[in-house]
Amino acid sequence: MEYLKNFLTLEEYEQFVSQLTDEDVSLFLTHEENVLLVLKYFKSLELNLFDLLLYKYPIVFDRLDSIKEKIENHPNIIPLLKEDVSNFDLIGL
Amino acid sequence: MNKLEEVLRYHIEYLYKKLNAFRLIEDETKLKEMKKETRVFTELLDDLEKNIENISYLDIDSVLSKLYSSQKLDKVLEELRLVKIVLEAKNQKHFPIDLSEEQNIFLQDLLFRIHDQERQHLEQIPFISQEIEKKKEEKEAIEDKIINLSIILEKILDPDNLEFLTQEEFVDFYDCILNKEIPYEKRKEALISWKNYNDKRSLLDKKVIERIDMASIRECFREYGLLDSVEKYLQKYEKEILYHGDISNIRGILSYLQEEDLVHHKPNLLSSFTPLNLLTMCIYGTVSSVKERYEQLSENKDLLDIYFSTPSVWIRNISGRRKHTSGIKRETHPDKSSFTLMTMAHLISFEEMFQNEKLLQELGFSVSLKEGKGIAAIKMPTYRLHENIDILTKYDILNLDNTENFPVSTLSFSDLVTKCDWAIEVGWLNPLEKQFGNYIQNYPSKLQVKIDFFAVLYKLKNEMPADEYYRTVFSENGKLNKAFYQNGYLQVSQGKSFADFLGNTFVDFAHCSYLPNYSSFEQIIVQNFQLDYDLSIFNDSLIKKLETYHHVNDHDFQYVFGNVAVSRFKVLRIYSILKKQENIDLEEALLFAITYNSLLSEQSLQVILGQLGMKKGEVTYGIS
Repeated sequence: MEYLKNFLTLEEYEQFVSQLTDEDVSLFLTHEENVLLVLKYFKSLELNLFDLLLYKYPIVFDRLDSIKEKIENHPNIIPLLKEDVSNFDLIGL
Repeated sequence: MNKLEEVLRYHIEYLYKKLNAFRLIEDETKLKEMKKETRVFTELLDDLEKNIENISYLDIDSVLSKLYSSQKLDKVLEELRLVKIVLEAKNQKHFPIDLSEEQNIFLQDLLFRIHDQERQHLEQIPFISQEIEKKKEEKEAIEDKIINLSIILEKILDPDNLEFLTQEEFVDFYDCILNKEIPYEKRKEALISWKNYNDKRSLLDKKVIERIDMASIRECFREYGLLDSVEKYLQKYEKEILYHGDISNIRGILSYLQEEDLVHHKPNLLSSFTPLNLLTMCIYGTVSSVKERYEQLSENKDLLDIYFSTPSVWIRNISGRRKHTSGIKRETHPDKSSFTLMTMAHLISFEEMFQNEKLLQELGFSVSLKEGKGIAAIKMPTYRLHENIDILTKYDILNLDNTENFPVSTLSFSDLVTKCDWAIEVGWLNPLEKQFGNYIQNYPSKLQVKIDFFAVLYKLKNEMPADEYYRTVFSENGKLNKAFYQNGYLQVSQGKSFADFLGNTFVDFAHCSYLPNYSSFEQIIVQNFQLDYDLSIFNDSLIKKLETYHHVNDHDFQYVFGNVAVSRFKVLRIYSILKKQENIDLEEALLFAITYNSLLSEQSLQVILGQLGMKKGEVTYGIS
């Protein structure tokens, strides 16, 4: 999961990783390419990636186009996501 | 498909249909409604029996439909309105007026109807509760049967499996033979296949495994141009690879994946997998498991991207074997060598993924293997998915009539029941708090809040008046106060480490004189996990007292001790488990159930002990 260090500080990485189960880690390892694409996209939207991983990490295993579709169907959601990533809850992600 | 496989699949499908026919959520909702109505009736009777004229200030309109037929309702409403006018004129404006004889008769009749309805409810509730318990037991039995039969199915489909079918498994299989919906001939042939299966097993030679060294492994991957990409994983998982690896198997898999077969439209698949996924398949898969899966998916034109990022799909995995060993927080760091390829190899079986997708789609969730939506939820062990759905429904966070827009990611959270209990205890799941008490229902992802932040919430909630607490934590618009969220822990802990903050602020129940058996109780809870409480627990005298003095009306979530809120579900659940054990001090068990997993200061603990009538400093118990 070292690739996550490209998006988090060391402290954030350690904190995030400490709360994961073995199954979670398996997903991060087997879906690395997808996770990288999704995190790069969220970074381009200037979302808080640490909070995103803490509260909404299951999203990063979804296909990027399905995530984009949800966001594009809710045009006003991006500022809300920047404010608090839990606002993904409002669009069913 | 041989008859044994066919009969097993048919019966599993049949059991799923039976399972889907249970409507436990609806029954439980009905029971909940009845209990709520009963409480309303009891309160009304309380007021009206003191003085029938109290009707003038009671809001009774909502229960009238339970007491009168729809044809009479308008007339009754009008009569009631007139009664209230007369009483207002008499008692507030002091006019010389009184209720007529007809009006008095009307009120007596109303009182009688409320009594009667209350009596009927009180008679029905235990009966309905028993029915629900019975259905739950039946449902669990069916779920166990499905798991056991799925295990047998996977076993017989795996040509590399050398194990015999056991007598125990035959008992489960015999259910299929008794299923008269399956044609007699098929059942007969399935029985014969069962015997033949074991006869064949006894003739198979034991597999000879060629043990390896890392140089051979490296050479193997180099032959296929993969060494550079897998090298770091070969180093990281060396011990595991040396123990489980089989060079001819690895070479066989790589060769098959690389081979292009124009006739069957099979391209070179090596680059379709990441190096780590490929390595996992090579160590734990077989040539036949990889080949059969590819042919199956290709034939069904079902080669979805998701399968190439799921190595366990290409490995024969037994569904349902993972019980409460998974979903547990890691003891070790994932970047260290103690994390294994085996976990990835057995993450989820192909069949289980389909079952999960089907289950979730039938419930209306927005998930899809094809579109890559809700993948984390689809890849969960089925039993945990069911559990999490049950938990979220029970805690009123998920409404099964409205799942389409529910954030599916919530279904994947681990340790959900503890997080829901915390949410209740810090007032984030509190129907009595109108403005902020539904925070978790609006933002289920906030169940993932870090433990240190929850600790801050516990501290403040138990120290501040409710208004001040909510104003501190939330902004006016009902969202989390950003400044508080970012700086709250730092301010409240005064810069201490989390361990110090915990130690200085909250009671360490594991070493508390009131709970000398804490460790053994905890072990019992962990070994006997159950999600729900036994309804018979309400007959327990200690629970009856909690229900009478500490259960807040119309709010099933909490027991309240002074200003301390405790998750009622947690208490009932844990006490139910402990009560089944022999030689348990029930009063200590109750205190354990109340305090387990809660962060309570000494002061809060003393409030609880005081309200329970337990003396400070002595192992003396007595519930007031």
